[in-house]
Amino acid sequence: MNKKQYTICRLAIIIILSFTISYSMQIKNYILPITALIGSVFILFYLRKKVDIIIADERDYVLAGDAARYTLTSYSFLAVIFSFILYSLQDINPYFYTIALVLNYSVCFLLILYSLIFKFYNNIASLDKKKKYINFVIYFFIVLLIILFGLRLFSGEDNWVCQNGKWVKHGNPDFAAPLIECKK
Amino acid sequence: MVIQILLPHLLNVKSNMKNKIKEYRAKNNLTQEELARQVGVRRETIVFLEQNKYNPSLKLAFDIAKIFKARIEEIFLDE
Repeated sequence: MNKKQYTICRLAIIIILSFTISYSMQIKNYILPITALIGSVFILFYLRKKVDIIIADERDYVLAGDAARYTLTSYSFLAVIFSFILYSLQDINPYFYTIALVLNYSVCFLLILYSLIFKFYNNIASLDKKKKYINFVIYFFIVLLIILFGLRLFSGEDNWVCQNGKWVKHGNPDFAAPLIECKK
Repeated sequence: MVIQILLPHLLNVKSNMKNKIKEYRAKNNLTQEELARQVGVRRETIVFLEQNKYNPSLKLAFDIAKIFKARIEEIFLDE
């Protein structure tokens, strides 16, 4: 496969994936986009292996590293600034508080993930193959634990539940009841 | 003050190593594409190297030197 064919295939996969995701959102099927996303990643990975020329080299990786670092830094700054703006405007719309909270947690999660991945690559450089695998498993479980902790934090434990046409407190939500009509 | 410190850092303004890749490539009758393929990089990387706009990794520098059957310091000059 040459570069042109690979580019066409990649474009086609992205278009199909975008269509699948938007259609799945419309029909409220959330399994389909996840399956399509994972499938696309595997197909793209396979196609990349089949390309007979070099798609990315050390210069691209250096640039990608710089771009990723600056993206992370700018996102962190912007998210924190916007979260403070949203905090100050929470009287206008109580949802602003939740959005600010999500932004702050996302920055924390990204920075922790970045530190772990950095530490992982820093550590494995001097290790043999077996120890690299052990290290990978350890770091994988640490990341998994952080994700599970994050999901627990954002789960609907302290939330408003729709019961008999009224919003009822479940736990101790620190935000006002949703403004949309409760139809159950 | 902040811009003076940040801007060169963001724009990656730093001195690059000079090299004689173009001369050696001409001597060895190699195209950029052929050299790129032999050392396992994209042609664009060879273009950037020849224009002294990119400092290669030590491995790439050694690979290039090996292709030209020269010593690394004969091709790459730290000026």
